[in-house]
Amino acid sequence: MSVESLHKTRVAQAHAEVGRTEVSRPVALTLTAVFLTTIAAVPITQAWVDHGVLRVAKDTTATAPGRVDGRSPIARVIDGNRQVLAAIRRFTDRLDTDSVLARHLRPAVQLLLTERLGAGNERVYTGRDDWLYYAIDVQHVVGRGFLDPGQLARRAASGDSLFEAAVPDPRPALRAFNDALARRGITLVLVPTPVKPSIHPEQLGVRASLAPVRNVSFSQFADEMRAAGMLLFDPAPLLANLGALGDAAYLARDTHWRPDAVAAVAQALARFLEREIPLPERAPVSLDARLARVSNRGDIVGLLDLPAGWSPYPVETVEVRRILTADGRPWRGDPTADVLLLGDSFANIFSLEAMGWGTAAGLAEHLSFALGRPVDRLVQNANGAFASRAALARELARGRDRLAGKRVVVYQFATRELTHGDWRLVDLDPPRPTLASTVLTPEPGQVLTVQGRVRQLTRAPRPGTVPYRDHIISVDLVEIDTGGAAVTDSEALVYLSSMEDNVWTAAASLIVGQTITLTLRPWAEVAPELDGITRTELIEGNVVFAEPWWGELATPPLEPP
Amino acid sequence: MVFSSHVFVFYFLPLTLLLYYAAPWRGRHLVLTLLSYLFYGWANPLFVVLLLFSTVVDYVCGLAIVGSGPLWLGRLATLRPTQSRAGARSRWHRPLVSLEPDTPRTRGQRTAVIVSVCTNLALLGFFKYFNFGVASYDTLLTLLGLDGLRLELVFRITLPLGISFYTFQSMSYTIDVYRGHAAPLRSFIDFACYVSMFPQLVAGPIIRFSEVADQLRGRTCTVTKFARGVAFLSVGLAKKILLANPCGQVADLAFDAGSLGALDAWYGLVAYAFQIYYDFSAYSDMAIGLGLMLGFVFPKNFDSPYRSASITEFWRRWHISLSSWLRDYLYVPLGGSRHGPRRTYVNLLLVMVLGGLWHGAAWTFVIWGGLHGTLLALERARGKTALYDRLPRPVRVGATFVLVSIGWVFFRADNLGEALRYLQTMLGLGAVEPSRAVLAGVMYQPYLVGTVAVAALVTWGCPQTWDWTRRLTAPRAGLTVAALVVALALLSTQAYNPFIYFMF
Repeated sequence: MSVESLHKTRVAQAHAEVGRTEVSRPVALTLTAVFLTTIAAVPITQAWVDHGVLRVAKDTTATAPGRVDGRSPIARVIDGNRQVLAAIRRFTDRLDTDSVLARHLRPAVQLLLTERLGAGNERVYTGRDDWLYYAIDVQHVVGRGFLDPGQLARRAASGDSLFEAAVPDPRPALRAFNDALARRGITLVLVPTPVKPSIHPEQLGVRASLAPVRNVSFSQFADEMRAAGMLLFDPAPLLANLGALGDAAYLARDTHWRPDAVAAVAQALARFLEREIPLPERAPVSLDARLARVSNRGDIVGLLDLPAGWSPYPVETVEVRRILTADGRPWRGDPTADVLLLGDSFANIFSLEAMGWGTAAGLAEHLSFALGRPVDRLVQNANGAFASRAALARELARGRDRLAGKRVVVYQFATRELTHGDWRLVDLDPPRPTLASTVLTPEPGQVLTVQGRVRQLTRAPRPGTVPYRDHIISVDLVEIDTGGAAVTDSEALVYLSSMEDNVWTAAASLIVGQTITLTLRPWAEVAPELDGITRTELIEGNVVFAEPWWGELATPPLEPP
Repeated sequence: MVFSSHVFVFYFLPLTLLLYYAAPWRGRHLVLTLLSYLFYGWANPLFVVLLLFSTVVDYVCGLAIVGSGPLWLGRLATLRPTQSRAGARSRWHRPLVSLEPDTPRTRGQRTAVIVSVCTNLALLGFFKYFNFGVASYDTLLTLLGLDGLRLELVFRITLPLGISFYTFQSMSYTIDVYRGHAAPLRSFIDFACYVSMFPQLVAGPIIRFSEVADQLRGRTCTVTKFARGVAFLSVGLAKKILLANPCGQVADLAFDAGSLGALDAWYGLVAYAFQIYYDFSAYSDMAIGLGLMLGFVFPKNFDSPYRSASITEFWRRWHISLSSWLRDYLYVPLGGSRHGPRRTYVNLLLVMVLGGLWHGAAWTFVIWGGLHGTLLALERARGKTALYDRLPRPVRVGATFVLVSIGWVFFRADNLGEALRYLQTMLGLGAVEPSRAVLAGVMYQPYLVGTVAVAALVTWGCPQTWDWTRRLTAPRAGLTVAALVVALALLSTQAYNPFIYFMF
């Protein structure tokens, strides 16, 4: 048989096969009708219940329209393509997050999967005794070495048209950070905080061990950092010891450690600092510790996206030791302290109210208590690989020298960042930017109601895809009208709450070019309560160095032009 | 856009069916083409330009081959410079017929087919193999101690979605027209519809022009066809969501592990074997189902490949549209088996290596292709029978599955080093670190083990989609709907589920 006839036979076979379909007309009609009804019912319901989700939004990534001028046609096409792509992704994200199906069907299906099959989802592994594990943490522990050249190359090439690849290798950033601090006579102490599966593998069906379970690259990393002159305080052995003795060091359904573990690590870290770094004598601060009970469901439960009020998991209650000043007020960071703690949510838990595990009992509080001296802190949830270092750099660029008088910088980050984090270089000695005179700078106590146009803004994550419940976006507001005429070149940096308790706020829907009305107050006044919440910062323009405002949208925001 | 996504199932598909059936017959190809471009541009709107470019080139070359089209093309093809303008115009209105298969071709016709093939291969070569070429060149220079001559380019070429599929498909058009196996299409819209048809655009099956040429000129849309299309789509969706994705979870854990034991490695490999089969055959099922809903009949792409008792049989059952494409457009032109055994073995090896390279621009794919080529040649040397043909069929099927699975190590691994390390681990030669225990804790979760077991049961114990959907009784239709509903329900919990073959 010739090739052609063989080939035609295949086509003919398919036709013959389709021709042999045995189906009665009523069954065929019913099957067709059921199918069409199923696929059509969802968009019709969506349009009926909430058609806003179906609106295609423009690019909301940090793109300033002013940059279009003077660029080549190719650059304009690429930029236009990028904007369309961003709008597509935003549309699909919104469908996946906010559609009727996502809101009503997904939680019910997940409940069924979790209760009946003991299954988690893409973000959660289920363990014994109602323990839950963040999948990213598990992947860090069991995955390839984060310093493996192949792994580094793969991550470095993982960017796409919209998002640049992360800087995968932590070593250059940490060396540069250490060098920048050393130039100012400050010692850097790294505190890579182990993730839950490192300390509690037993709830995943593994025999408990005195030794923490690490990513295969961890010892190489620790050795190289020590060889580069950095001090590295590794809390993992202490935590594993706690875990092996039967006292859980981590919360059952949260990614973080328990209060006792925080206190124990703070104690050990204090002894480490006293041993390794000669801190100047200082009058001891007078602090008290008081017990309090706090309860929470745990951030990993949120990642399961179960129906509200139907969680099969009990609330977890723990006893925290709140650190109070002599006059009974909650402990606060002291910018004049000679110890600065940079950290992520492991430093924020039991301290930042928004995390729902109480206040005044976090790592900074207990470190200060154990050292008997004040401690300054710059702590932000998530992105521990760069967020706190970037926050420090912004403080310096805004003229607030948070490194003045410091002897030690303790840099705490979750070890998952070594595998998944963005270890971008952060310049601690940037030239002081010159801000335009029309940048709106907050005065203490000032409250303004303004209208302005969104020039660029950052994006909020999809609720339920990240292990934090709250998020703040940054907005570059221009053409601001403070009651009189809008000033064309006026500009302000505004922070807005974009996600609260795993639900997008109206600010999450803002788009570039939209005119909004909002109330502004100085960020500095709300920072003590909100600074630790995960925040995405703008990266373009000098406005990023402006003093930020805290904004609250007038509801509903005006429709985009 | 991914078939197994919220936006496709609940928005794109209803819109497509609505517009397609609302359009008059003559307008349906235009509707389908525009929607297919939307479907393709969803991943990256700029990719549409490439698709359009490839389409235009092959359309023009097709016309040039039969000596039709614009005047200059006619001249190019027929090399009759004295032909009048009026003559050319009248030729434009003549119905196009295929060339006689065995007659000699003019230089112009040869030029046209060469332009088409070279353009498509250049597109494929640049977008798919540029990064690989530069990386291999740099590695070679490093090995030779000539670091100073390395290119070390800071930019990378982005691989357009499905370029391997549509360039092969588009190229097959001009080759078929040149060979006289098909008449070209006069209408650009019809041709653009053939190249861009969304059901099979980004991940196949590779539909050759001659397979749908008649259907582009006329086809029937019946409720029976539609119902069977629904059944195909439902089964495909269920295979993808219920089997391929959970198996992929296990495979990802194993292949991305820092440390794993021999048993874990085998378990991960079997999970990957099921993942790739159910992932790709699901896509093909859905493509065939969507085609049927639109009135098209596409040939079978998978024929229970893991029931093969030899590698030769495996390649008759796995990704049939690619293996037959390679056979007809590469193996046969190379001489096939017409020039003696040695040349046949070389041809088999060469075709499989190129087939491997078609899948991905990496040495791992070359080795994967080479491995299959070698096994095919060995089996051919035994007279088209398996090496292990004296064994009972179940044992031969098992042995074939193991061999194919070992080949998948190269297919799945990120690089050659990782592939070798994985093979070492399968042989129990890998170092086991404490993290292996945690890995086992998640890999062997009952839900995942159960899914891999069900995948095995379906592979060897259940009828394939073509057989299952042939007789759609009321209970079967009910089961089909149930599979669809369960798959859609589970789809809502899966945020990210691209098809493996999207990256090719």
